[in-house]
Amino acid sequence: MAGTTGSLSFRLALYSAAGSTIALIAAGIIFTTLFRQSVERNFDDRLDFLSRALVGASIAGERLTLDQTAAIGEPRFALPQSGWYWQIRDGASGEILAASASLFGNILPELDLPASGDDIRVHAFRGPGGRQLRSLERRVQPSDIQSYAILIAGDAEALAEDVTRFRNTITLTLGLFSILLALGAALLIRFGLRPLRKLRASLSRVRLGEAERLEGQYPSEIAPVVDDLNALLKSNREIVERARTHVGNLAHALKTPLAVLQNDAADSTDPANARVREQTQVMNEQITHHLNRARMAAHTNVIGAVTPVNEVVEGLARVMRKVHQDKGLMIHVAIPEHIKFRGERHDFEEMVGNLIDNACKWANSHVVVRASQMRGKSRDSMILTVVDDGPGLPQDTESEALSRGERLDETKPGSGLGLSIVRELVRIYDGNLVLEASEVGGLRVRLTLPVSTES
Amino acid sequence: MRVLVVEDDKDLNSQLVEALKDAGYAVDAAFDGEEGQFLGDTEPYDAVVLDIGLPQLDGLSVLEQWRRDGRTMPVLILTARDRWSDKVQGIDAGADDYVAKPFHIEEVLARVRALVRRAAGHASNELQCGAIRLDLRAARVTVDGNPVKLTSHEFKVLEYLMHHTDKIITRTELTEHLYDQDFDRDSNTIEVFIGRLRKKLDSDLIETVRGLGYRIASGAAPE
Repeated sequence: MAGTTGSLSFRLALYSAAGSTIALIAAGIIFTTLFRQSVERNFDDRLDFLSRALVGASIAGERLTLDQTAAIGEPRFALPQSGWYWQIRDGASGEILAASASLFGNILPELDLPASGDDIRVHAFRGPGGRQLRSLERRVQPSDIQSYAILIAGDAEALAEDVTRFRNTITLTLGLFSILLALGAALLIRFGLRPLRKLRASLSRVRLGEAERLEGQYPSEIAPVVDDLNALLKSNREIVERARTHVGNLAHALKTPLAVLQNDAADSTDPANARVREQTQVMNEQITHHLNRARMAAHTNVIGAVTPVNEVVEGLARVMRKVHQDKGLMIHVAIPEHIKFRGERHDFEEMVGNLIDNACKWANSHVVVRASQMRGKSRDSMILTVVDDGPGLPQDTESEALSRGERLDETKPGSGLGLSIVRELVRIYDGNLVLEASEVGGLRVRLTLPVSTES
Repeated sequence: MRVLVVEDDKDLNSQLVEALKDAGYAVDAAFDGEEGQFLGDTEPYDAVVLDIGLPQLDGLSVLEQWRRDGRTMPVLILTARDRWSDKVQGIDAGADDYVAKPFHIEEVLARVRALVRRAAGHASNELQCGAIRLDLRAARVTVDGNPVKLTSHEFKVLEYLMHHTDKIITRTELTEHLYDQDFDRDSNTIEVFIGRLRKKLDSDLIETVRGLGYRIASGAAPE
């Protein structure tokens, strides 16, 4: 199995989370800054308005006409320590000429306005009582010799509170937004990666032998991978098939010369002939054995094969009826058409053929082959029974026939019962083989095998 | 009984031919599919031993063609491919039995004997007509339980007649089935064999149907 480099979903989630977090934090900062600027500009506009009103109310010609109590549209200038103050200085000497009642004798700090010009300056500082103030100062120059520095200050605490409130609100809003974004990303990953899950399911069906190739439509990013995989599966099948053909050709090509040798050595008492007989026998057994093994080894890789059961068994029955004609056997086949074995045709023939052949050898008059399909927990299976009315197997032989392991099978290819190869195939197909006494006195062989549920 | 052997391997072919001749059959040999098919089409054989893997024309095609043409002689196929599907294919093509290579010659002999017997409608390896019993496996003849010594030609004539009881067998048919194609056929020799058989078996079981041929009755000896 290939090593994993983390989850694709996790990676996507991480990247999208990081991206949206950075974007949202930046948005929060920008919004807050803009808001602060906007609020301050509003405040400054108000200060500017008040400052103009003060100028209008206090300066007539070159003289100052204002008294301390004048309320210039803002009652808080009269309340002591309200946070709203005004102060007028002489532009040249810096002497305080007038101040709002609210100042209550306090003095606002002198600002470093340039000595001349009609300038406006905004400044934030701590005023009397330690309150955060925001002030606007302007120089008014009614004549060449006289100038006034007019300072208006307002309580900026509320301003800061507004900004804080806005920041809290925007943080909450953006937080909610980020949760929505995360949900969106999760959905995106879920649906975006769906073709990959489909691919995986399809591949596992191939591996289980339920399909021969990857089926279905895939997005253009995955489609080439699917095509390549299908090509790989196909070439794998072809390689297996070719290897099997070669092994078969070799083995079968050897059989005719072997037959000649065997028969040449048969009718003589010469000890050399005896050795030839013996060795040809060994060679023959080896060929059969390894031919079978090669077939079986190849079959574990062949996927997606489906074999119609009834058709195959009927064919085998035709052979048996002819070959065992002398015995006048009644060979009865009762198998529903729809049952299909999930596996290779030759394997199925090898298993069932040997079982039926055995039954025919032992039967007195009747052999019955039946099959039925069973619904299983994880997968469906079929049960195929071959019953004969022969002598049956003695109890001990029966258990021996079943308990024979692989080791014995390897040393004795094609054993008398022909059951070793059957058992080997049954094992490969994860099936089950049971030999038991039949109710008609002979042997009943019960073979359980996987079925294909594809129609 | 006349048998055709179609096998492309020269050694195996001659082994089969020798063994079958030793067993008392008249044997013709063919080494490829076309030759085999031609012989099967033109000569009356009582059995054919046919290899599947043949040059020119493969055995199954030969067999299928014979069956399509209505030739019913029993055919034993020899096959190196011993998978069940190959056997099913062979039987479905019209074969009567199969032997997988490599085989013991005895196996082939036993199958051929069974096929010939089955084709004639006999269930056992012993044929009986009245007091005469003929054991196919041992090639032995007894009358009332007493063994009778026959030459191989005499045995062949008796065997053929006993395989086809109650039927009139012409002299031509006898020669065709008793000699292979290279044999110098002279139907007069048949008369000689019949005469000797009648003497040795001490019986008038073999009936001469004038102008037609010979007949042997299946039931009790006619009085």
